[in-house]
Amino acid sequence: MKFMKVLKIVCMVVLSVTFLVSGFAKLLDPHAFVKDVMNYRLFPVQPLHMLAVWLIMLEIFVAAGLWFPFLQRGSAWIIAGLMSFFIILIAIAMIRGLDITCGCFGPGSQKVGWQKIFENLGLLIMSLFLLRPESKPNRSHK
Amino acid sequence: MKFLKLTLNDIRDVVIIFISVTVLTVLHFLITDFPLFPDTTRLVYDAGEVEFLTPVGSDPIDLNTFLEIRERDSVLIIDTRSYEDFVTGHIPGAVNIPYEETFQYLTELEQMKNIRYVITYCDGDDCLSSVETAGKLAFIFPVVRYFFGGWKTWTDHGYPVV
Repeated sequence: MKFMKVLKIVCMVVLSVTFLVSGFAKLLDPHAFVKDVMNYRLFPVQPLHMLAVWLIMLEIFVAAGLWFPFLQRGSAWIIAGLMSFFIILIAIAMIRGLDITCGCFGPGSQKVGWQKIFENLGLLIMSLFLLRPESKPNRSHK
Repeated sequence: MKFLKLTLNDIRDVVIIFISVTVLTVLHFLITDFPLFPDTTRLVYDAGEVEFLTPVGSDPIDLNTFLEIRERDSVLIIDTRSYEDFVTGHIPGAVNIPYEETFQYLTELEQMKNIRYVITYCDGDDCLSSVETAGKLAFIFPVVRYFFGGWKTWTDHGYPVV
């Protein structure tokens, strides 16, 4: 259906732009992102630099991967996983009463709160939409 | 749910992406000066030990160090909590600069040439406003520290408040 195709493109554009902006904003100042992750007080300090850079690269890679048919479902799965992970992180921070920025878009990100949870939930639903069987790309190796 | 079926091809794609991202991460560390391991500071306090990322230009101090520095001359103690919290009770001698208003006071702070030591504090060991403020003020004053544990540690130990 044409409507579903348009919706799929919209989801891809929104997810792709969000993750590209997020990834590159963090890449410009990885120290700030490490600090934001540290503020959640859930991770050991020593591997934080590796984890942060890996996460930044993952965001950029999956943002691009959505536009390659052979990587699309893999990217959508990873985005769904990341969004679920971020929602849990923010919820834990809220439950613990931490007054911290989410670190979602590098320096100057919004504080953790319901708004961030709903935003991430929206992105999670979009990524799950891309995992519908209809949206499965034709694979040349099949 | 049918649309959430994870196929072998999906798993393979995810693995390919993870490997590619790991390679990119290694390349990033090779071509930039971003260190593999962060510079950290360990601090021992009543409830145990905590490891911080070392803030640029400022360090955490514990209660004993706070008490020691507090007795020196040219010390400015800044309470970074809200005005409401401050008027309810604060450490004697502290001034209130709520975290959100730090920039409004920068000009005034820059003129305080006689201040050598600045110590910031906030609610307890879970708040970050004192750390953030200390980071900002590290560019103005020679020695800037934040009191880890802050108000909670101070009151838990029964020190006087005003």
